Amino acid sequence: MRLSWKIFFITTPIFVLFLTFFGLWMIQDNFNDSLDREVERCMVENQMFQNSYELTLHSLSDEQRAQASTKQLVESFHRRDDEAGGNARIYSEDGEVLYQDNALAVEHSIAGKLDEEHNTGYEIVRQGDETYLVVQASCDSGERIETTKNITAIYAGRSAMYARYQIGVLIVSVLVGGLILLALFLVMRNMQKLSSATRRFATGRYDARVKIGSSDEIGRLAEDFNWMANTMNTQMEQLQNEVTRQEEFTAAFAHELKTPLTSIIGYADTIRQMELSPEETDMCADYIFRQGKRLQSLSYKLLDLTMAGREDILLREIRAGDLLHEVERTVLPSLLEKQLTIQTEAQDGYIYGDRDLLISLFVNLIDNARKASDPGKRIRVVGVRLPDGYAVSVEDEGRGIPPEELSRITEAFYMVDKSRARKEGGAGLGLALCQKIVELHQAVWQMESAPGAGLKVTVRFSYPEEGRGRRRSRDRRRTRLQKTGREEKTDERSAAQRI
Amino acid sequence: MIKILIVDDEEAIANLIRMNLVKAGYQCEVASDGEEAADAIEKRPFDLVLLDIMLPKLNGYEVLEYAKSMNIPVIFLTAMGETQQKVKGLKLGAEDYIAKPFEIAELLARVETVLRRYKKTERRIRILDIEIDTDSRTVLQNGRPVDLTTKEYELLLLFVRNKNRALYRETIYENVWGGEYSGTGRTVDLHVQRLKKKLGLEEHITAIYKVGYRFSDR
Repeated sequence: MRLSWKIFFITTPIFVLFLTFFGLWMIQDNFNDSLDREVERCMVENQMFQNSYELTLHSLSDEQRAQASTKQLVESFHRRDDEAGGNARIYSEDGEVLYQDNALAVEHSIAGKLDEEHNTGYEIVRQGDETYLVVQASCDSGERIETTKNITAIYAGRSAMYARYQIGVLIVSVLVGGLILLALFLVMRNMQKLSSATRRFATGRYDARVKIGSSDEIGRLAEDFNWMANTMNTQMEQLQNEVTRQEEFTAAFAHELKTPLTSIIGYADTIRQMELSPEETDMCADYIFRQGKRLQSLSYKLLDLTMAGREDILLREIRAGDLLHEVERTVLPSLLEKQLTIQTEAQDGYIYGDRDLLISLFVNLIDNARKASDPGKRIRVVGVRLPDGYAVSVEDEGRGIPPEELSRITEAFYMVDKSRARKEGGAGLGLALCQKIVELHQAVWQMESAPGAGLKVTVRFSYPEEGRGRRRSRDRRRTRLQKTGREEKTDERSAAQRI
Repeated sequence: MIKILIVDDEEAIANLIRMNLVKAGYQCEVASDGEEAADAIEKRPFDLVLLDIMLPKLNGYEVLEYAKSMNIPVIFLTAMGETQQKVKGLKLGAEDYIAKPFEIAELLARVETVLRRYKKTERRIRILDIEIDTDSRTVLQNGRPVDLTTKEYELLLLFVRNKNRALYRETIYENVWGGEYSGTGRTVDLHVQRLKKKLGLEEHITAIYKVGYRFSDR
């Protein structure tokens, strides 16, 4: 059974029950009051009749009393047409009727049940459709005086009240029940919306949201649901993007891997199956060797990329001049081989970073410059001290990169000129690696290029927050870069232990 | 002479294919990008195009359109190994695909199959004193018919098509019988012995120690 019906079937009967009991009690109470008042009045009337009768009786002499009938006696003070008098009767001591106003005889059993102290009593008697109140009192002289009153109206009034009240209760019950149901359905409609949205979400339609205007608990629950759904969507999107990137990387990697593998396997297969001339064998061996080298370079770069992928690196203070000159020494042989010159100018300053990764970064940038340059050209490496950091730029006079390619060149395995890059021994991973290193140092880089005008890559390093003061004091403390932020390690030993 | 165009921007791979196809008796030309390939297809009649998908300038799918307009069959060379790429290539009208890395024997077999489908191979192969009719699958020696079983016939065809090439037992098994070669059975050797005896090829089919057999026409 639905919740709204449950609530309806519990509340409505309880309400009707209470309403009925309260109403019945009120009506009964009212009726009792009326009856009590009527009894009181009849008692008083009876008393007055008795008093009048006894006074009249006493005022007579014995002869007069013997001569006059009771009827004459009563008529001397009591008029029959007097409404207030009602039906009065006088019984003798032995139960004989001495006087009566009219023939109305109400059966009762009041005699003998009179109050001992006052010698009075009353009884309510139902005779036919009528209800009578009979009051009796005995005089000192032994007669009993009885007055009767028709009180059917009081009972009829109570019945009429009951009937009216029943109709009232019915109407109120229907109204209240309807209102409760209406309220419940309004609330439950929102619940229904929420429930159906949840179900839609569960079946994979992640765009499902609830629109509820109210600000009650259900409204808030709906808001919370929407919030949760949004958060989940965002996270799923992130995961999806991550998966897509991973897939692209894997596909590109597979391609890069399969090309040299195909050559190596193919040429080796040729050598083992064919009778070849010595020249042909040499050629095959040369291909196998060169493609093997390419695989080697690919795997080294990939290893570097994985190493640069770790999140936790140690930032140290490095003299920019020393670093750049070490880079120059590393790349010089390969530059000389291609008859290129390198010019390094470094202002005095410091870079905070991982020495090996930074060397890898600049060697890769210069390597790219070398691949893009024709013999005889020059490569410039310039270090500039900034107010809040240090900037290094690598500039070549090579063929440059078209603007539309600039945004893509940091993608792994992306090559502007594939066949050319291959000839130069590139795997398409250099700039992807550089990007990782730059991000790891929280540095920014900028590339300026136009086709034919060379490429200029500028990397800006900023000092770590605490680094500025330390640079001035020349204190060789270490800063550790963490995911959550920078944390200063004052204890040299504990920092050393971590390494 | 059958002319084949090889399109691959990887010089190492293009050269590898060219070298082996020339040894197998085809005439070859190499194009290193899409535009060069399209030009070559329009200028000269080729019997078959071996086409890489990822090419500079025009990609493989675009070059395929040129080849189709000239009614030249195309085999895709795909490094991706991804089902979607294969399906796309085949749907667009390529005859077959070869996934890199491939073995030379597989390459030759697929080239052979496509050429046969296009009736571009010679129907009659004459070698030594043997004449093979590939349509009726009959073999004549000195004009007299020789009775060969199906497997023997296929074995002979394999040897003839790979003349002067060492054939590994596994290669022979996979090409003639199909399925994985277990490396222990004597099936290949028994069939080769029978073929040698039936055609008197004892001097031309030579066993190579630890490898398999080579058929030479010299």
